[in-house]
Amino acid sequence: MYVNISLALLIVFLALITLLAFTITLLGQEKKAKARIIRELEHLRSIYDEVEEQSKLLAETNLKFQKTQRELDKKMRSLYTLYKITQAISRTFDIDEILNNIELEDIEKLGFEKGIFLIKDEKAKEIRYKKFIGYERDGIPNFDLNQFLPLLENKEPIFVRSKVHIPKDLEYLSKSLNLTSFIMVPLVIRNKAIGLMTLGNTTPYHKPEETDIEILSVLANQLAQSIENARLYEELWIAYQDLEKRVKQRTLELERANQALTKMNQMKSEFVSAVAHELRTPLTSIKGYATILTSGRLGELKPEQKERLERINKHSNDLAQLINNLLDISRIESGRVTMEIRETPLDEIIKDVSEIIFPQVEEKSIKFEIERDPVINKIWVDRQQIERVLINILGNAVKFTPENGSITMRIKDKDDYIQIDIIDSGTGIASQDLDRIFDEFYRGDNPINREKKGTGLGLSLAKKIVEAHGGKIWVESKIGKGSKFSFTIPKRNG
Amino acid sequence: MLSIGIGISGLINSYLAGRDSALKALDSLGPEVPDFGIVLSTYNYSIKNIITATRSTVGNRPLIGITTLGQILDRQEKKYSVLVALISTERAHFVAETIEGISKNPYTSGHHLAWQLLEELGKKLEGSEVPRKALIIFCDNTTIMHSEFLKGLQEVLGLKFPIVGALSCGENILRHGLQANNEKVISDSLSGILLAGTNLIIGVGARHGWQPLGLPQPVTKAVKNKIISIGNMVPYQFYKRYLADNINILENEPTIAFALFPLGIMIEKKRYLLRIPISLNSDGSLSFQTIVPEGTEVRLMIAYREQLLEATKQALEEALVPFRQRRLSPQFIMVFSSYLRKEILGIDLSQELAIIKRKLPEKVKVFGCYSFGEFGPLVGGDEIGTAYFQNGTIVILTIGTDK
Repeated sequence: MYVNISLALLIVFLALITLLAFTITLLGQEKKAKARIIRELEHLRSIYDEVEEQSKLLAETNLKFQKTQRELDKKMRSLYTLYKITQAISRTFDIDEILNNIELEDIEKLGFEKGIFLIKDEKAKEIRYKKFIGYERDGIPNFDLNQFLPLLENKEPIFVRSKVHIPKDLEYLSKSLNLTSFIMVPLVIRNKAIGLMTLGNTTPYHKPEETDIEILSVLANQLAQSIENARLYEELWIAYQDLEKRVKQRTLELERANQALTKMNQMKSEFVSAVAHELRTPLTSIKGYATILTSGRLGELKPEQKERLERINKHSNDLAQLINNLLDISRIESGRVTMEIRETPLDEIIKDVSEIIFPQVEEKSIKFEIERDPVINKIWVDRQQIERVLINILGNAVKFTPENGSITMRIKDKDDYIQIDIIDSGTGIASQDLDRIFDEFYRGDNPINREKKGTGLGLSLAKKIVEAHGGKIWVESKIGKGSKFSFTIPKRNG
Repeated sequence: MLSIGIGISGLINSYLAGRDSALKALDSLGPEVPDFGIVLSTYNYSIKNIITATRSTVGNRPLIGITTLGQILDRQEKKYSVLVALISTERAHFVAETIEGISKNPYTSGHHLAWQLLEELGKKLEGSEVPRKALIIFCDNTTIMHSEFLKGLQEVLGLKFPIVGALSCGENILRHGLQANNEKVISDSLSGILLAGTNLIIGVGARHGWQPLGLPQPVTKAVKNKIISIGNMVPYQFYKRYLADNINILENEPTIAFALFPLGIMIEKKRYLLRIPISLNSDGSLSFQTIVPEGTEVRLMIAYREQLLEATKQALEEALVPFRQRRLSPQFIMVFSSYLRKEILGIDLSQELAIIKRKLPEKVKVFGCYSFGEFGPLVGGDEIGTAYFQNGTIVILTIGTDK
């Protein structure tokens, strides 16, 4: 029995031990699980905190990024608006139009609700041009704008961020303009203020920034420049108008003078013509009688009588030649003689002229050459008149070229015209005579002219004939180096 | 055939602007006769004068108008802008109704509007049945219970019935906008335009582009449209956790701050509804345009320009799904976009319209407005989801007819 009790007790004891061990084990596991859960919770907590930290960082970064982006946006908008306004105002020289090119949309893009632009009249010392933008609904404020004038003394911008920052001396103005914040920038050119630009806001929601001053200063600068250009243009325009008026007046005076000259010239030609005709008649009689007496029909003459009569004849011929030349010049000038221009073989002209000139050149042993472009066969001229020109010029060349000298006549083809040059190795023409050599009656002062008498009409007549052909005549010469007389004859197409 | 003519004007005088844009819309419409008109005008105009001018120009056509923050037709933002859209609806039906006094009982107002529209449609169809395709709604800020009137509408029209629209706007988010139904100008009202037609094809897409930041937190205390605590802290502290030293931005530049970091509520398929705070209160609580119920899980949201533009692309793709399936193009597109997108996109705002226009043939006309709040589903495309009141969203409604 005792054994059974002992056994039973042992079993119970063992059971208790087992139960205890089991309980201890269970408790241990629960503790471990709890510890694990706590660890996991802590881990989650740290992840949570990390996520929150990351979110904070992201939020901060985003805030900075957005701020930069907004500032950039504002700058871009402002720059674009500045560019747009500058383009518009630089296209005009009218001050009103310059101001009209700035619109409400532009002011708003610069970040403002209202704009006031005032330009001073320098002479009157008062505000002359004004533009109010953003006042369409409220109406333009009515007060004396000249109150702004003292503000032009400040060459620097005035920045007022909000109502509380308005300086006392600007309170009245800001109230009149209904502005709670604004930037005033003077328009300065050459260190002188010519106007004032004010951009501002009525509502307190929009506040200007200090960075706005830079953009507005650039705008003010552009505006001032455009206005100055407009002013200068206006002055230039007035000066131009005045100049034009004076030019018109002078032109009128010149026209009148020209008309008077033309009339005088006409009168001169008519006078010359009339006198020449009057002179011709008695001259013809003088020549006639001299010829009859010289012929001996009225009796034999003594040699000295014959000599005197021959002189009378010669001088009469000279006088007749002078009168003819004068008449020719007069007729050409007045248009009573027109050139009979025909296609004429050049060879024939050269032949006619050579016949007259050769004896003269032979007498002085002058070498006379004719050079011509082989392509020139015919020229369109009044044959008689052009031969007169050549004879006149060649005659002068012979007269002024010493013995054993040379004279060359060069005929060149020059696309639209024929050019004839007559080059001599003569005494040359003094520079002071060159400008007048083609004037009527003009004879250069030189020993040859003093010795040999002439009318001074040859070259003048030559010029008239060449110009009547539509050509030009000129001379190049130097004392001691000879002369080159040139004239042109236009070509014609059939 | 569905045709639309669109005219836009920036004249300062309200009457002249209305007339100018109406004339341009008529010209744009061509030989078609307008049956219906939508007028969008910026808040600084007298919408009454605009409507009067429009009606005197186009005749007594039904006109629905709202005041907006600006029109989407303009590539450049304009402070003064009136848009008139005239629609000729030969093979479709547009009926419009307005319910006043919605702030008293928004849910009932939603119900009433839906029933009135159906009744009006029934009268027009003289008993015959045509499928109803979509509803465009406009209302103002007088009520914060937008979900209630949406519920009322959805109970009558269907939970997944496509509803899109926008809030009419005043000068700022705290001011009420105005609606107009013909020459009657009202606030505290809800206007609806029901579109119906057998051959009418409708597509809807809506996205915002904000991404969640940080971990979700429950709204532990809220009273109507005011959140008093998020988790175990006041909303100000919640924001401070993320903004740290930059927290002053909430006071100094609240519009930017809340545009960058609104709150998001996850609704379906990991899509978030944005809720933009309209004011930070002295006790650290935040007020919203609409109710944010207690227990809602919210997360701070974050936006980048690229994401917003990507969202526009996605919204457009969703809205074009019904047309792609039929190898057709819409006749016109209405876009309601949030003013917050203007704040974030900055000078890239014009990219939104450019993205839309690039994807469409030139003849497809696009118009719409910016608003302080939009209505649209979180999911568009094949299976259009339930409509919600949203912030920060671009909602695109494509409208066309089959051949």
